[in-house]
Amino acid sequence: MTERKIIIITSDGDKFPVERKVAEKSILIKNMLKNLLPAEDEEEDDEDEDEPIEVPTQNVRSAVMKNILEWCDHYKDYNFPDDEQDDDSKKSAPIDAWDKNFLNVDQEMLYEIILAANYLNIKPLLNAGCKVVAEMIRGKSPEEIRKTFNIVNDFTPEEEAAIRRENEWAEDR
Amino acid sequence: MPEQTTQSRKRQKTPKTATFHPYAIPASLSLQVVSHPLKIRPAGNLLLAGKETEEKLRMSMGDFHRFPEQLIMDILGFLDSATDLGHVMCVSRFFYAFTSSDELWKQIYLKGEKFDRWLGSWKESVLRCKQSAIDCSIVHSDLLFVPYQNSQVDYSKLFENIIITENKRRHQVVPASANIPYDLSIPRLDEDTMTPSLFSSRFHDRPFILKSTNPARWPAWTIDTLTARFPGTTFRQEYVQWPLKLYAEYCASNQDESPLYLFDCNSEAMKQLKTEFVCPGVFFRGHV
Repeated sequence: MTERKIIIITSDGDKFPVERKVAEKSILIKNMLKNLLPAEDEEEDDEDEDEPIEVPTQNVRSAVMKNILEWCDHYKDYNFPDDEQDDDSKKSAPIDAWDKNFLNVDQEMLYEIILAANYLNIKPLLNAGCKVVAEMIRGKSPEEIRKTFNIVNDFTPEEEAAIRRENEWAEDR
Repeated sequence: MPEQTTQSRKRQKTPKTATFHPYAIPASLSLQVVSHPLKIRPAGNLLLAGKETEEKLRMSMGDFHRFPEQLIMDILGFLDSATDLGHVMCVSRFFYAFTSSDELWKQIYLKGEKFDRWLGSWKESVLRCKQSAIDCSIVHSDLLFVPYQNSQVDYSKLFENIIITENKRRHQVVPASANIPYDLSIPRLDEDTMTPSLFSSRFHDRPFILKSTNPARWPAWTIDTLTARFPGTTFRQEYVQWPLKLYAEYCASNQDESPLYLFDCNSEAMKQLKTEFVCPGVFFRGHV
């Protein structure tokens, strides 16, 4: 018995045929498939079992989906530990080297990957993406942070002085 | 602990004729709207805020305006030093507002930025400085507004009627033989009248408070008297271990949605405290 084909359709209409275990890295798609398909080890005697299943993803464009699927493919045989356990140790863990290299893209693509991982519910990728953004903040001065993220300083000079005083202890150590 | 209550609490019927209902919420509270110290507003208000505010907010957020607020909080949660979080705080009004979230500073504390004076919030205690009253009224966020709103619930007002009722009855010790009405209040009984057979026949399934005619019967334990006696003794409060004095300061003023509670049988102070409380006879003689 052959596995039913899954085709992911992007917001701009591109079609990506994928293995089920790759697609299921997205919890959103996994839950969707659970309702449409019997589990992999169950008997399947559907008449239209040769029909591929099409999964539309309205929020993700083709260039981003290509990256997302590359990530999912890399981890297709890896089982991530359960979400609930030990949030703190996961938080302090450094970014996985492969993920770090994978996310070494321009800022626009990084944002879109994060938003897609959020929408498709791919927690480990989302966490890695957020860590990369946090990494972009780490060790920078306020002015450098503004530059990096196109933020406008909207404080009055008096307010800025007050905040600098508030921050003195963290600054002078 | 001047009084002793049993653990069980039974739902009781409301008397139909009551005009003064102890559990009724005072009408004045239903209209109470709190205002955030940084003027942060609930997310829904942005719908009516107008184009100008939206544009200001967009500039204050920079690239972050594309992210949902929970993601922004997650990103800031990955910063692990007071210096980095402090720099984000200086960036713009939006980031000043987001870094006012006390949960972030609590995490910074737990990652090792210790303090030994409590200044009213985790942020202020870590930075050893009171928060400036920066106007963040362009920021609309439920993630920031709702926890603050919840921390501001005035329970002494909310349960005013119950407190009045209970205070009235504090000194009314009823005879154990009396037919105690099910009127929501907890009956006070003299310790000497509570026998094991009375407990198992009538009081095993409802709360009661034991009183004594001897004023020296119960130890005078309040957070103030205990802090005066054991200021530097450490107790465990969930995931922190603080001297009692620091915890007392924390108790007196904090904005935590669910504040740390102290529960510790192993503190040094317990060796002394255990000798000061004599268990009521009804529980001592071995009737469970």
